[in-house]
Amino acid sequence: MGDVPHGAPDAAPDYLGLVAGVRSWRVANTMWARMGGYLWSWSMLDCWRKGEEWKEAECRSGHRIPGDSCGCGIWAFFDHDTMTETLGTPSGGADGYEYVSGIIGAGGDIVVHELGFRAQYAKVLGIFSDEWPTPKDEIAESYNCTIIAPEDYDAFCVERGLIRLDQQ
Amino acid sequence: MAPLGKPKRRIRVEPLPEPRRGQPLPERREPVREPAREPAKPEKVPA
Repeated sequence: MGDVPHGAPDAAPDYLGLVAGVRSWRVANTMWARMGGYLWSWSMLDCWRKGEEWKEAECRSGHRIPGDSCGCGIWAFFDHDTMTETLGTPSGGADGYEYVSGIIGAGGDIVVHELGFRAQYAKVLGIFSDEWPTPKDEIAESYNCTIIAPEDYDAFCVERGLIRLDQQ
Repeated sequence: MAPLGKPKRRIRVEPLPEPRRGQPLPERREPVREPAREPAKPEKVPA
């Protein structure tokens, strides 16, 4: 299937433990959006629902998720520096939206890319502190996670026993 | 997929979320109810 070499056969996992990744979200900007959850995809079409520990990737194409020749799956970069070098620093509201970034722990099927990965499942593990006046305390409480500085990402991964795919 | 660069390989990582691991739970089936029976009418005894 597809053009991505497969990892272990279905009977045996490649890793036991969650894979660490860094991503950013748009912050819910209306009361209606906040009722679903604070964290939304950049397209504002997909919500990380509050009260649900795991986010599951979806795709209408009906193939295995994440697809080999499809962009589906939960996106994340290997680390904070890679993300900011690639996407730039979020504007903090200049385009009408506010953003936060943070750490996810990913599981299930994962397609590994040069700078990050796309995952089948993920949960929010941490929110990065930044200079923007976004409701980070409320977001962290809503997703039952902590707020940490981006420079503490490496130590966070070590403490939590997270797998770093960029350090394999 | 340009922001993440080219895909390199596929891996599988566990543990999976508990509710999604393994086979889905079987559908809960409602117990079959027998139709209510009418109470037996007393036989008419000729006077």
